[in-house]
Amino acid sequence: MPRLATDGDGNLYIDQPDHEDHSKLVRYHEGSFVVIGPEDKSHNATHEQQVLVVDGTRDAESVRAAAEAAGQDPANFEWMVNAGNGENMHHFETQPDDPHYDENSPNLTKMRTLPDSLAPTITSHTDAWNSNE
Amino acid sequence: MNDMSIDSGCGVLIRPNSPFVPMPCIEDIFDEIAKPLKEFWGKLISMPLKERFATLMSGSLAFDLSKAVIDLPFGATAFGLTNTTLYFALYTAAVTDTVEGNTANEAAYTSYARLALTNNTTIFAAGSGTTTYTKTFPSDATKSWATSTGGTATVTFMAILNGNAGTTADKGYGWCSVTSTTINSGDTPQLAQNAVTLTMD
Repeated sequence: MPRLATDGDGNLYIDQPDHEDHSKLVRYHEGSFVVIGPEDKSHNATHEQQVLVVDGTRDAESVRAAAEAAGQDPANFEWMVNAGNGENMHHFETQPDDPHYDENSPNLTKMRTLPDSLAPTITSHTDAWNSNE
Repeated sequence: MNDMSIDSGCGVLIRPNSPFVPMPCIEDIFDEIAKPLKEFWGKLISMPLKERFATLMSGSLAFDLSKAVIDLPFGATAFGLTNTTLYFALYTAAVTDTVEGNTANEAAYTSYARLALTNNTTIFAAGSGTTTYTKTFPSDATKSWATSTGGTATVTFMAILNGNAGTTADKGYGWCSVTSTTINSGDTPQLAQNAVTLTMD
């Protein structure tokens, strides 16, 4: 089974050059992914209920410094701060509940990796869905 | 003798006493800062490390890309990272400069797939600035990941890779932290237009 990718416009497609259905559009349907035609509703159009914006993190100090460097009043940009005071603390350092936290590493982080034989099917793959149901 | 010393040929020894950093690794990626504020990134270069640490944590170019970028002008080594399509991946754990395609804890909600953006000047339009060059993307429009159809993922980091094999063949371009966002069934994560800012002095 193949790898998947999304094109940013709501379309999910097979993204594996050696697969017979490479680049064809697919949609999740009752436990599997089915190939759809260009006239069919896209994956997102079929399943979307709400949108969540993935926003970057910004701490008070960096926003203040940015404002001052630009000759602006920092008070006008406080709305941009979204990290600090318990919020989004992973912006500052890796948190103890993070799977990649390592208290013995200088930056408190030890990223785990998966073997190449396994990693492609864990996510972004048509076989990955059933581990999350 | 210091390995980096240069003998001028007339007995004068030029000995570096500080690191040579032609492109400081402060090419942060972070979300949508207003245009006038982007000059700030240039100021960071001269800040003591302790003062800029908190900001550095927000993002950086990955080692794979940093190496390729420096090898190109110094040694005229051809840029070797495939980049016809760039893939934006979401993670539920911290990522660092060593991120590659097999990094664990990539989002795994049902129907999750990496966001594939064609690498052209429509989506990655030319930036601006002289002392600090700033580029924002996606330039043309908001981009969506696939809508979740099951499971839950709380994403905290995003990385940009040059492939979608899901293995070490996918080299890291960069990464940044994102606001903690829990994705449930029916939710579509989106990357706003010009949400990512990349700067370099």
